[in-house]
Amino acid sequence: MGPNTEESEQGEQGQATAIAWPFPGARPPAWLGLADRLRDLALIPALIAMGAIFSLTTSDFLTPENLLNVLQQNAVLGIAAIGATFVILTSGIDLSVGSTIGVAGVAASAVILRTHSIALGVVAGICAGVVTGSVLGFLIARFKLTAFVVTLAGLFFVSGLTVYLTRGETIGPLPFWLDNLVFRKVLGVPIAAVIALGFFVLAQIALSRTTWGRRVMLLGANPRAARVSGINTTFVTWSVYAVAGLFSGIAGVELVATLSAANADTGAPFLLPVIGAVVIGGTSLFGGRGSIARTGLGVLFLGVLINGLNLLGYQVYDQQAVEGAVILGAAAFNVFLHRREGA
Amino acid sequence: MQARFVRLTLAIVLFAAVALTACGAGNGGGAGSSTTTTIGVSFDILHEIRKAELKGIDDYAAEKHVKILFSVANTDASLQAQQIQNFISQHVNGIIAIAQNNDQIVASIRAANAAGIPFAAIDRAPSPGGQLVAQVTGNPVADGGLVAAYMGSLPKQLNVLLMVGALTDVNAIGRRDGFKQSAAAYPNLKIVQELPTNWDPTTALNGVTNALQAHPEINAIFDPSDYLLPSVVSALKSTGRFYPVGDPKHVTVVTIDGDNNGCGALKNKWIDADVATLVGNFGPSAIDAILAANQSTTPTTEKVVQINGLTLSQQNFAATQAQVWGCAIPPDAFK
Repeated sequence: MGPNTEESEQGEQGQATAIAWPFPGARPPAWLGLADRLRDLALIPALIAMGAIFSLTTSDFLTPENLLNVLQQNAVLGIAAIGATFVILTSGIDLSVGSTIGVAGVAASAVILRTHSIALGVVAGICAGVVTGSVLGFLIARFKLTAFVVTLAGLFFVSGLTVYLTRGETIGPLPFWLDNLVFRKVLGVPIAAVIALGFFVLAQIALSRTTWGRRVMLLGANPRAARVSGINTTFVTWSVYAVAGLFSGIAGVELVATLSAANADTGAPFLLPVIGAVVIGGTSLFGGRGSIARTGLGVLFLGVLINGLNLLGYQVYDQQAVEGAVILGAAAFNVFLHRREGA
Repeated sequence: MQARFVRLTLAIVLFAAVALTACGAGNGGGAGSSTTTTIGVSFDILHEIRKAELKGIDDYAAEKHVKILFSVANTDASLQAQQIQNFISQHVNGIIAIAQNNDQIVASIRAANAAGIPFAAIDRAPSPGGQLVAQVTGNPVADGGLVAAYMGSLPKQLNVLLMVGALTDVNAIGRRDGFKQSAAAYPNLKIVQELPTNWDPTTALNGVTNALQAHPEINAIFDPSDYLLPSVVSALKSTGRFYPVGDPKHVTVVTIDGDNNGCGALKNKWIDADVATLVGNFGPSAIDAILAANQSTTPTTEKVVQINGLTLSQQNFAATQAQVWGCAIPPDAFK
């Protein structure tokens, strides 16, 4: 028997008294290790290289205005991807992110128009996201239903419900000064990007410095060990979907502020880029390995890629093909790493 | 392992970059030299009607020595906002857009206004809130009225399936409302069912099929766009209701747009009439307004142009087809 194989002992109350790693090849999550910190930054050279290439091929890329655009344009994607990261770290998946963004945006818009209160609208949008995530998380955690199926059903149900409630119409236009939540600059940086960055920092702290965050990582790395060690895995599983709903709700509110109106379909295009950004960033689809920081770099990578292709004159169809190829490559590398480390 | 990952990623990115530059870009990036007028053109989607609109823009731009930067949002409103924002950061001299959503485009118009870039809207009228130099559209209400007028002129009772586009599209709403307003004056027209389609061919196919089965008395269909015509024809065929014009069992079909599929269907006597939108004329008016705004030292007033549709029917096909842009293109949907 190798290291980290001490048996778990049952105390008088029947609870495990030590963390057990009884399975050959099982490793504790390396969130404290230097290796993981370096892996967090692994995408930076590629990002710099890509930026250099676009700088050489189009004069419109490396301008302050364009770079700030990239930050602002990907704020919504980034905020939604934070929530998706927590889910994927537990080896789950959330296919309802686009629908949740849509319903949150619609809820926020409807409340703002009815009450003329931005604050109430923001709260309504965020609550819509949290409720959606919480319900789906409850179904997954409590009844052990497959996350793929539950969140896929959630995608259709939430989207259909939103279309029904809005009668397929756009809710808007909203007061135009709402775009101050997006475009107003703080120290020269669009406030949307500042807000997104703030959430990234808070989320990374929550993941790496809180007990809950460590439990999320452990649940993804070794669910059995997490249960044996006394962690309430049902609660942790539910909580990551609720958190994902929270961030999708925030993203929906931010999106509405950008577009000054909302409808049921507005969030739909975000599903693939959100998951893609998490995968490209290097968070493992099998759980237990990754970070919010990596997702942030993944969001930047996708944002720079699409921006550069757009400036070069490539149409959305070409961009989607490239985006899909990059995500596929990242996912394949993800699987390759997982098999190699598990061998 | 970490170093190998970095090297592999770099290699992939570099290879992709070489491939990109070797294959060449679409229509090239950048706003060009300071002496070339550059106009950013943002479309919501790309299909035959949009291709005709783009051709009108490209042909006139070539005439006026204007460079066009073109982007398509693929029905994604937030992507369209990003693409227009990129045009603004590229310091184009003007922007022409077909809004994916007439409410959500207003934020982009205001952003262009703030940057001092003239903005023209074509095909779809945006909601109020932004300053346009031109708004060049069809007249969806009048076009819907022309459909009702044609149906009403037929010497038979018509039980109509009223298809509607996307409820977020001002053109769809206008065509629906125009039809209903005009149909009220014709006692031989009765609307049996309204069918929203979200401009989605699959939704249209399923909806029309279900409607024909649920309401066998339907003997007329108002299709609000030739884009959905293949779905209508497929639904008629699948329910055994597809008969050519002149057959006693023929279901009267009238559409709007005048694209190649509509013209082809008229020629083959599958449909009765098509209200053609003269989309090729949208772009030139918009370009002229942008050029005038760039040359003016005072703020220009918004030029609003509504181009009425032209009814192409079985009765006037021979004499009128030359005026319809879609009749110059071979149909691609009907084999």
